Amino acid sequence: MRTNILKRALLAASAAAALYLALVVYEVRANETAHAAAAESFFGAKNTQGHTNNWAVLVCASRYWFNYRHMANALGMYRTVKRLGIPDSNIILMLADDAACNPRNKFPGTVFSNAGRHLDLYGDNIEVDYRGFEVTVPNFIRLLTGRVEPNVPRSKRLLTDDRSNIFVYMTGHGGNEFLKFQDNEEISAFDIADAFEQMWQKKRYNEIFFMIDTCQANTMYSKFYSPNILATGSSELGESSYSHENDNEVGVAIIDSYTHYVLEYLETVNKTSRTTMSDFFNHYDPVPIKSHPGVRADLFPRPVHETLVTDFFGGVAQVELIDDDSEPARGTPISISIPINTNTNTNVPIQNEEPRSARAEVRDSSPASARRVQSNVKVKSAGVGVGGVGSSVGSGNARDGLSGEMRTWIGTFSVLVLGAWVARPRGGNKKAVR
Amino acid sequence: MKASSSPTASSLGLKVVLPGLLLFRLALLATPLPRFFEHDHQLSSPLTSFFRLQEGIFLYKNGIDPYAGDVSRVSPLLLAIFSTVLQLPLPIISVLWTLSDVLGAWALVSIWRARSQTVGTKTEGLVAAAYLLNPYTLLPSLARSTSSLDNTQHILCLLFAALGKSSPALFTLAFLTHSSLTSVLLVPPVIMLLLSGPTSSLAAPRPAVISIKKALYLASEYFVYVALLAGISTFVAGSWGWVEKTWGAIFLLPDLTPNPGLWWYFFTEMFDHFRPFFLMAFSIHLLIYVAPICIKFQYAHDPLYAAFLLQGIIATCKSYPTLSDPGLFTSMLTIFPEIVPHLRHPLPTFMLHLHSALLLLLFHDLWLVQGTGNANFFYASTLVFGLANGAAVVDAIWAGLRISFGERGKGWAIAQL
Amino acid sequence: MVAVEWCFRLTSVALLHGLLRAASAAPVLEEEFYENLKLTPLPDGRLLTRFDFKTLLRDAAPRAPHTLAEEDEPQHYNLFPLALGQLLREHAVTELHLTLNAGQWNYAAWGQPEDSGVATGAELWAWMGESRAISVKDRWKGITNGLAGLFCATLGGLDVRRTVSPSVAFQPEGDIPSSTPHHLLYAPLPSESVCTENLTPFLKLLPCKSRSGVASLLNPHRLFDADWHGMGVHVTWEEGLGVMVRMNFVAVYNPTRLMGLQNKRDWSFRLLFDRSITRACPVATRSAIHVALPSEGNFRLEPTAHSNLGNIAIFDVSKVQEPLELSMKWPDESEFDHTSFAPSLSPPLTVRRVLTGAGQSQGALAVSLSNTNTETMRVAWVETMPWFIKFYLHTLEATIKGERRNDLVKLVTYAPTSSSSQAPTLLESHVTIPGNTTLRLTIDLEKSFISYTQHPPAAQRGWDLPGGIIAFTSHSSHRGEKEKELREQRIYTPILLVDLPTPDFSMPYNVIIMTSTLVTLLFGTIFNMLTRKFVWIKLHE
Repeated sequence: MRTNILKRALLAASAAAALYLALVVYEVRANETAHAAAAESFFGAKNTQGHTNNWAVLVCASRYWFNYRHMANALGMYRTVKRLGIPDSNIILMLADDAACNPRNKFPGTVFSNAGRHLDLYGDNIEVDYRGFEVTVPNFIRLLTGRVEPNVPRSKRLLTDDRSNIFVYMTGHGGNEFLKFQDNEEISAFDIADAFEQMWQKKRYNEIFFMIDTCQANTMYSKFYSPNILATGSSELGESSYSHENDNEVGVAIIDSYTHYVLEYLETVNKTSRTTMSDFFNHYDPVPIKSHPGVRADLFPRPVHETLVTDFFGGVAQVELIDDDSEPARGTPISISIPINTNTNTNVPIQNEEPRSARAEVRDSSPASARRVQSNVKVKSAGVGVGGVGSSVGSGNARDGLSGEMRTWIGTFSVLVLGAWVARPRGGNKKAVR
Repeated sequence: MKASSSPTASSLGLKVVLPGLLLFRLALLATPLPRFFEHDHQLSSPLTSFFRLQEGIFLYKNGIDPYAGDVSRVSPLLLAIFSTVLQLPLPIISVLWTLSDVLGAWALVSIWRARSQTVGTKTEGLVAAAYLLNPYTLLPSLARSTSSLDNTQHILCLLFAALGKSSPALFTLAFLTHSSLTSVLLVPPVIMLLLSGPTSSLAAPRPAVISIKKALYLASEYFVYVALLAGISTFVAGSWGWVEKTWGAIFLLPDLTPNPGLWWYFFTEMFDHFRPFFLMAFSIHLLIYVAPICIKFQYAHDPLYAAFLLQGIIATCKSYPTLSDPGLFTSMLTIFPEIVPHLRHPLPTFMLHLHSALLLLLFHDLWLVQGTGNANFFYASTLVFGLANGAAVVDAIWAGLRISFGERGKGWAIAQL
Repeated sequence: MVAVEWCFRLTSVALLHGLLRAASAAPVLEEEFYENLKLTPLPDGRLLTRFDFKTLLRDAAPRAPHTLAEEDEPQHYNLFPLALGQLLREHAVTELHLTLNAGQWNYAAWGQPEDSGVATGAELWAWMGESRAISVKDRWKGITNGLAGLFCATLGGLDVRRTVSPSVAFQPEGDIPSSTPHHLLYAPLPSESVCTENLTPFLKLLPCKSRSGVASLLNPHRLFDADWHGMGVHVTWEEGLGVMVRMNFVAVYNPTRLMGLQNKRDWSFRLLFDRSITRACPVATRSAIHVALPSEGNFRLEPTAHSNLGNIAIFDVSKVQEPLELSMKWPDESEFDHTSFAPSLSPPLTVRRVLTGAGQSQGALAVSLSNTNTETMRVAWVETMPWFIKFYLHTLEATIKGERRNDLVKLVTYAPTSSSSQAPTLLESHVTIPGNTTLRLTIDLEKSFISYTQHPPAAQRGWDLPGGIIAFTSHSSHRGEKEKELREQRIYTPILLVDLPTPDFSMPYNVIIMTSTLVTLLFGTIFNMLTRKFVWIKLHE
């Protein structure tokens, strides 16, 4: 009788539990689908509007003084994008060597890009994010894909989102589908293509404009397969890119011809220009550049003649105003072009914490008496004289009690004893072994 | 074989040759040669350098763990012995090395006597001279490389095994294992030698009658000795850190100092990705020769010959070799005079050795001292040296196998299918 | 116009201050900012310029390490550099010293610098308290990377391969709270360069940036042309006073070179900085220029000083009405006579350090210490060598004129390196140098053979070895506001360049296949021989 009741009670309880679980699971699933739908709707409404922020990654991959022109290339681009509105916090500048303060530089703190030295590209206000030996292929790929170590500071991260337009500029020595970093290692076109694909999968860009100035540069963008990439290079397969001019006082070639003409053209562009990328590409003239620059636009969704130069080079943003109501905007958002003012030296601090609520407790202030910490310093002093093998013995070995010298004597003694025991003459045993 | 003791033969024998060579070696010590060779990379590797041993002793005596750093890679047993019993001034240490070499030569002669069952033949002088005058063993001894002491222990172990004294043989081998781990490869031939005997049956091979039980008993005795010595080492060193720095160095190759071997440049140029795999491959490569050689020469009933061949292979493929290792191999050839007529290419092997030995010293100097050569020169000479050692081993194997077939006269040749 | 702007700034600052006080319950601390430029003509015709920027956060204390597990209290700074302050609190650093220098300090001609940290390249040392929440090592990693991002320097390279914990030098310059045991971590990076990108964030940490006050003279194009230049950031805590951040920029100019063909040691702001001070920094409590007047020679300093203190002419920048441009001329000198220079500032101790030995595998380090005083000197000698240099401690020898005097060297710490940890070697000892003698210390070393992947890109250049440090305490009263009786002074020897033997970098594949071929040849032949059957073959006639 009792067992029957028990059985029934157990059955009822398990049925109730099962029902409850089913309800919970259903709730969770419903929530998940709701979240998924919300996320989908937010991210899905992507292609309707353009970018909201601009980033630039400028890489000079060569070191040594005679590659001054590569650093001038990258610095020329740096100055241009800064002038057109991208703030320092959105620019990652990688210079593999120090040209401005190089002991061989006759004009310290300056990098020029034209003979006659009219314009100093280094200026007074420059932030180089990766310099010297930090400019390596792994660091570059980590920067692009966002897979950096936890300790990497904010200024060295590419904090882009799915509405960022990124201008990637690379210069150095290269060849057929590779670019040399630091005269030591190479990055291949496949590596960059895969990095861009990772960025696409992680929604780390809206559109990328890839520009490269090396020998046989056009091969570097031939392997891209991710959408929304516009690419251009300075020379075809089998062609070299040449430097533009030398400066006799600096003593080396100071700019490459492709970059020189690009910069010269970009000087005519300002923040409010409506110059399009097709105008930009049309100005390419193989004769003065001494090589055939190329363009790759098949992965790019918009027509090139409708894409502004400032979409990539400038800090001109599209702003989307969202209604205060909780639903993400599904109607036509209002888009406003706002040029970002670069006069405010926005130096993004390392830690961008949210403002915390003020607390009422008193701060934990001055500790007890402080004093010079001589005694806190752990001095491992053996107080030992130097020279000769017969010095005094110190302490600090793992075994307590027995000093080193005792141990060596005991060790030697035991080995000798063991040897003697082994070698003791044994009668009659000899034959037994064989 | 009966003892052929004509008066002239025995007078030219050991009693004259050995003291004469000893005096010659002592005279060499008086020259500036030892200081010249002190730091040479061919003669002492990071595991065998006496300079590093001195550093280890100094650190130990001053309370600093010698196995915390990288410099001292010597076994704690040697550390203990050289800081206590053998704590002597440097010239006496050099004499000690020479005496150890002479002991090794005498032991080699004794092995010959046990193997050939003769006493007082001319060959004895040849054997002693081959060991004491061989530049491959002479120079490391001048440089006070502990590999010379390792060689002496090696020969003593074989002597004890040839005389049937199991415990001294295994104990010497255990001690040798502690200063040079690669010697553990010699355990099977030594056990076989203990159970069979040193006399040669190369010419008349037949399977050996070896009791597995006895072999296991001997092997376990060996391991007990190793464990005991390991315990003493840990006691001396105060912790287990010595294992990684001494024995571990042989497997992990932390120190890429050049030596006449094949490992150092291979692992200098290796990408980090592949390092563990190739380290394992090279270590196992050394292991896989033991079984076939022992089995083959068990049938030839000559484990001493198997030990000889294994030493040759160790010399070629060891992780931190010095010139002492091929030196021991070439010196041991003299106790197997029966195979010499069957060597197929002794002259090319000799020329290869001459060639590479000279080039090793030359290119080492050019690369590191003069600065006019680069690492590839020295690497190439180590490749030739490896080839020379390999050629010697291959020839010795062939001769050892060939001898059992004898001669059939003209019109007949022997070949391998 | 300037006055209006100044009024506006002050009121806005005051308003902000008040608002913050009202808004937050956490007390807003008083901040004081002092700036100073000191110009000292040196006997060899050069000019030492020293920019000092001190911000004092009154009654503040470094974050207690045991609070690292909880969220930090909000900090409110107006003048105190926010980015630096956040970094220090994030990692609970009690004392921090970062210097970035270029050039070699000439102790014989320029004397002992006011701040001892004149190591070439980057040098970072910090005292941090123990914490169970985050270890000191992890916080060190955080602070080096954070400073690397803040100052655009490759300080992320100050990792375990360059960091040591010396015990005989680098004593704290401020106070250390006694409630927690503190540890010192020190890392030098001799190959670091200094350029405008390091100055840019430096200036951004100042309250007035480079727009007004003394900092407006900091022109990178001229500063980085100086014979020796370096910037430093020093954070200390003094009990009873507060947390002090001292940022300084020191440059040793050579006017004779800058003058072109004229070879005169006259200098002016126009020559040195190509700038002048147009207005004072409104938030500075004190902003002054000190010019140390030479004891001899007929010179003229323009404009006239506002006040004098001994042989120091003082200009109060806050009183400046029109652009301030200083200049000092020696009208009687047509040319500066370089031979007339006698080292009157010769320091009591001269150190010289060289690498000896030919060949790329062995060598020795030789350090000569010359005591020019009559009394015996006792100093601490600290060497940090990267992992590829291995010392042979048993060869450490001290000699005076060839005579062995090993009793004068007492070993304190020897932490050898090992290839598994790649931590640097630390060698510390106390050295006693009798009066008027030169003591020579030598120690043998071995230059390791490192693998292909461990070589830097420019491998044939060699590696920079950080300078050796000789530390001694001396009576010094240079400390700005406070006088300290005994202060640790350090002498840095020049950095050395060591050539390590390099493998052939184009050869990895070739080496692998050639060695593998040889091994396979050996293996194949031996196994062939051991496993194949012997047969007799009858030869045809």
